[in-house]
Amino acid sequence: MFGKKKQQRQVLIDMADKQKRYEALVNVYHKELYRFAYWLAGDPTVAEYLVQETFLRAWRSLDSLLDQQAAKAWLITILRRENARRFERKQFDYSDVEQDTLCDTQTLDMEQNAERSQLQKRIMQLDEEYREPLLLQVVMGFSGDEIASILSLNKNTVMTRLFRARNQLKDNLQPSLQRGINNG
Amino acid sequence: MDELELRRRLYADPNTSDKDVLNALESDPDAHAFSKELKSLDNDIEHALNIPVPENLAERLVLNQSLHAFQTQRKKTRIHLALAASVAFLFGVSFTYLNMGAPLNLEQHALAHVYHEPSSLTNVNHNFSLQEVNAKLASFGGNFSELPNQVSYLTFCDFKGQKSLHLVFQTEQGPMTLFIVPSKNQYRTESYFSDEAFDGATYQGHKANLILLGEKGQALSPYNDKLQNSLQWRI
Repeated sequence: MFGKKKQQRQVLIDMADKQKRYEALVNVYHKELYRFAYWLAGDPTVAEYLVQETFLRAWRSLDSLLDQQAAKAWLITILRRENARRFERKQFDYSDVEQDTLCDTQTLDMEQNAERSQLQKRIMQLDEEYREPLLLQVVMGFSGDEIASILSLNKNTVMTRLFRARNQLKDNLQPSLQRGINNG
Repeated sequence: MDELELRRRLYADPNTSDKDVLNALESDPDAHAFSKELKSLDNDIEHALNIPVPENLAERLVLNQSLHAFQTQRKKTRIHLALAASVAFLFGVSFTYLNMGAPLNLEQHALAHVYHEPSSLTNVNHNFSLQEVNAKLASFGGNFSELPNQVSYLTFCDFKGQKSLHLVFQTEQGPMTLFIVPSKNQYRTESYFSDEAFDGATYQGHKANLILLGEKGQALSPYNDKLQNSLQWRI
């Protein structure tokens, strides 16, 4: 009887411990994950849904996460799978939404603002195969090797895609920047 | 490292800490300027990607998890309760069936009862009167018009949960045991059974089962007939 009580208390302690770990995980990574999901899906509602599903799944298998270092890659893997599942279920078409929902509430002067939203559009127009490694590098801060392992590509391919992503952004941006300067 | 490779590497990661790249940058002012330009682009990209996160997202994520955990917890207890109920139900049903199966094993039970109480057969000094026997039998609604022999043992017994009357007659061939077990039978049947030491006969009557047990070789049927003739039931 006493043993059982002790066991129950241990279970409660374990649960509280798990809860703590979960909350820590949420606090540390939810912003990065949300941004990643936002730029991957191009929609704030979908992004929030993805992040919620990701953390729910993470909670269920939190015990299997032994290495805190691996947490970020682990969460990204769950989120990417969740995103892929979304397309298995139903093919959403967010091509119109992408352009409209790009938001920027930070106060900047008009020109900077225009420049930024221009860049945001360009980023969203990148093919996913270029956009995703760029997001993993810039938003999530993964190294080339880590990106390669997350996307199951070899490192050279990843580096090439990163190169092309930036190259496209730069090329696309140049004329509009030029025009902006001329008009100004 | 040629220029193309350098540019490729810078494009792939403007903030690279690769030593080859850094060395090449130091010795080449053009490449250095290009690197700066790319870094500024990357800075822009980073700012562009840095969209605001919805307020209270973290709190909502924690809440969502708590609600979910609570729901699954409730589902689990519901399953446990259902399981417990099913087990209890099965237990009840099987118990009922086991009890209902009792009459099928009257013979076995009668034999076991006699083996359990050998003193009932050896104690021959008592002689119960017809009135005493009928007084007990009356609780079942029965009545003997006469007793075939001396009754040396008379008591109520538990016969598989059923109150029954246990009698021992002293006959010329030795003690003979009779169980009267009240029971409502649709059919009247007679059957015989035996083991190494005893012969037995059961008679399923209208109001009761009569089980007669005698030592091996005793002629049971005359007593069986006598008893059935003298035993009457009030409706």
